Order: sequence, then structure tokens, then C-alpha cells
Amino acid sequence: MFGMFGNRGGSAEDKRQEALNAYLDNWLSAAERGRLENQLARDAELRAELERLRTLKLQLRSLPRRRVPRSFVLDPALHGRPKRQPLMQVYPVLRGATALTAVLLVFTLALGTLRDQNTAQETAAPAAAELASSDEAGGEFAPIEESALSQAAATPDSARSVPSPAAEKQEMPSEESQEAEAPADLALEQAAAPAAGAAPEATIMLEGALAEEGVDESLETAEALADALPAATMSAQAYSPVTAAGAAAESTAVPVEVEQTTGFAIESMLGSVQIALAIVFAVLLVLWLIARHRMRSL
Amino acid sequence: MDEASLVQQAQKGDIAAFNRLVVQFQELVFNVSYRIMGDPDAAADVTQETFITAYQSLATFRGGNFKAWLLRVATNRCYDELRRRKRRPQTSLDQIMDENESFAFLRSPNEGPEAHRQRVELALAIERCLKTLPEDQRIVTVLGDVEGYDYQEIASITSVSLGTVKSRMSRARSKLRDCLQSIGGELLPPAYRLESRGI
Repeated sequence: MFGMFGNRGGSAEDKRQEALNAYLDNWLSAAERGRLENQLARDAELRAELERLRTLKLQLRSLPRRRVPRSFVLDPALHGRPKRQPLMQVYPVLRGATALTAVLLVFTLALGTLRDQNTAQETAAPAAAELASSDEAGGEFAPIEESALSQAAATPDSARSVPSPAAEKQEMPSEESQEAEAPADLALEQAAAPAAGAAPEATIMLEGALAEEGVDESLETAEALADALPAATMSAQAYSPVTAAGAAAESTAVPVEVEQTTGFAIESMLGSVQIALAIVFAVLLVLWLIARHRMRSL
Repeated sequence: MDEASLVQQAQKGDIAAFNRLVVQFQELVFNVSYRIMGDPDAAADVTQETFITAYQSLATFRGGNFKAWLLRVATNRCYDELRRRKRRPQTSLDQIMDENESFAFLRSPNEGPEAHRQRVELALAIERCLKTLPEDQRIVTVLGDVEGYDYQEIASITSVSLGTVKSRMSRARSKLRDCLQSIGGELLPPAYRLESRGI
């Protein structure tokens, strides 16, 4: 029952026996032979074991040959011509073709993966730049917008004295246009969004002012808000230099679109090639395995 | 006509050329089959099947060592027959009778009866021990130690790696040595006994 455990401990002995047998059959490397011969010189038991193996080998070699009991020649009437076995005849070609198809398939898959990675990197970079520029625009807009609205709500006079964001914004677009050229439309939308959002917010604040402050004060609040809204609108319009830059960017975007279209075409072609190679590889692999099985069972 | 030419002719359908190859290799194939199967009748059946299969599959032989290719066919046929016999075992009585008759050919005119008896006993002992080996180890021993093929040729014939051949050969010899030592005291004369020292 526990014989298998006993055998586990004999692996070093198995290796020793293998080395001894390989030495007897001249199948050791020069280094291994040298090591074993050193051991043989020191170990009498090992030498005795080697002699026993040598005697056994001689005994087996001296087993007598039997004569054939009859002739085994084939009867032409029974056996005729050899059978045609096309699958086994083309076995070497089949093996080579399968290997080649496998290599091509791996190559096209790797190519597709590399292209996907490059495309992802290319779209990530401009999107990150876009995001950075729109954050700046939105960031600068929001505080001004909020400060204008809150100041207008709290102190009508002070709200009027709030500097128009338009002047400040005029400085900004030139810088912005230098920084973010490409997605000008997106920048415009983001610039317009606060302006558009300012209107309902102003309404809400007005309503709140009406409820809290009374009519007169709310009229002043409304005037302040009315001042703030055009300012926001002018700021959005002040982005027109960006629009000009955007138009310029749009003209460069056309080749980008063409490039993208070409890229899609290449990718779809690559995909078709991959599918075709996968089918061919599967078919060749099956044929090769069948032929190999038949060869081995001859 | 040399072997390569005979093979080419046979591949074109010349059965007479193939039969010349049969005559050349039938003793080799029969003896290998006999050592593996342990039975002359089974060995004869396997030998006939080997040559039939070889003739029908000649188109798959693409040059190289025809003898090794033929022995690969023979060992595969032996595997098939051994598997078939496992399902339908042969009676031991037939085997005993075969053993008693099989060594008449060993008699040599110059050999005395005692020497002849010793040789027969040794051969019987070895054959008995060969039959106790697992099929894989028996085939490697027959091809290597009985027929004299080297490890690379055995690996090619049996379609296994060189490491596997070395491992099987080593294990087979250990088992044969132990088997012969266990029966050696009774049957083998001193000159043929494998002396064990120590353990």
C-alpha cells in the first residue's frame, strides 16, 4: 500500500542507476563521464554494480536468434498495389503549413493589439489636453459667475461695481487659443454652458430675493443679475478668437478625419485577415493531428 | 539492387521488389516480435501484419532508415496485439509447451549436453524475466540489449524522447537483474549467475 512512498525516496538512486546504464552504453557527456569515473574509482560497490549490468547486457545480447517458422512474402493476388494515402503523403507539408499559419496568426494578432494601444494613446492625449483647457475656462467662469451673482444678490451696488468679466475674459481667449486649438467647438459649448446656466440660476436667485428681500430690493437684484448675464454672454462671445482658432483647427481636423477613416479601414481589413488565418489554422491543425495519429499508428 | 532502390520500386507498386525486402528483414522483424510477445505464434502473426501494413503504407516512407521505420511498424503491431491479448488472455499451458520446444535449434554439434542445457536454462530464465517487464521497458530492452540498437535509434523507433529511453532502459535492467538473481540460485550455473554483494 505504501510502496509509492518507498519509491519516492529512490529518485536519487534512480538517477544513479540511469547514469551507470548510460555510461555502460556510452551515452554520457564527457563531463558526466568524468564525474562518474571519479566515483567509480572511489566506490567498490558502484564498480560491482557496473559489472553486474555489463554481465546482464552480455547475456541479453547472447540470446539466440530464432529462425522464421515460414516465409512472410506477400501474395500479389491478394495485396496488389499499395494504397494511396494522400493525407499521410503530404504530412511534412501539412506540418510546415500549420506552423507557418500559426506564426502569421500570432503576428497579425500582435499587430492588431499594437494598433489598438497606439490608437488609445492618440485619443487619450488630445482628450486630456481638451479636458485641461475646458477646466481652465470653466474654472475661471464659475467663480466669476458665482461671485457676480452672489454679490448682486447680496449688495446690488456692489454687484454693479463687480468688474465685468468680459474685460478679463478678453485677455483669456488669446491665451486659450494658443493652448487649445483642436476641439474649439467643445470649448465653445463649455463656455456657453455657464452662460446658459446662469440664466436659470439668476431666475432662482431672483425668486429667492423676491421671497426674502421684498419687491424693491429684488428689483435691484434683478438689475444686477441682468448686468451679470450679458457679461457672461459677452464672455462667451469673447471666445470668438477661439472660434477663429477653432476654424483653423477644423481645417486641420479634416485630414485627421481622413486619417481616422483610413485607420478604420486598415483595422477592419486586419480583422478579416485574422479571422481568415484563424479558420485556416484550425483546419490545418485538425488535418495535421489526424495525419500524425495515422503515422504513429502505422 | 540496393535497399533504397528496392523501396522506390516497391513504392511504385512493384510487389516483387517489396518481397525482396521482406526476405531481407523477416528474421529481424520476427525475432523482435518474438522477444516482445514471448510467443512464436503471436510473433508470426505480428510479423505478417507488419509487412502487410508496411506495404500498404509505403507511400508514407520518405527516405532514411527503412529498417528503423519497419521496426516502428512492428513495435506498434506488437502493442496492438498485446492490448488485444489483455482482453483475451492466452492459456499458460500453451506457453509452457512452446518454451520446451523452442530451443531445439540451439543445439550445436560441437556442444556437449551439459553446455547446451546451461544455455537453454539461461535463455529460458532471461525470457521468463523479460515477460515480467512492463511492455514499454520490454520493448526498449529488446531493441537495445537484444538487438543492439543505440538510444537514438530506439527513440526513433518507439517515438519517445532520449530521456525516456534512458529511464526505461535503466529500470528494465534493474528489474531483470533482480528477477535473474531471484531464480539464478536454482537454475543458473555459477558462471551465469549475477552475484550480488552487500545487501
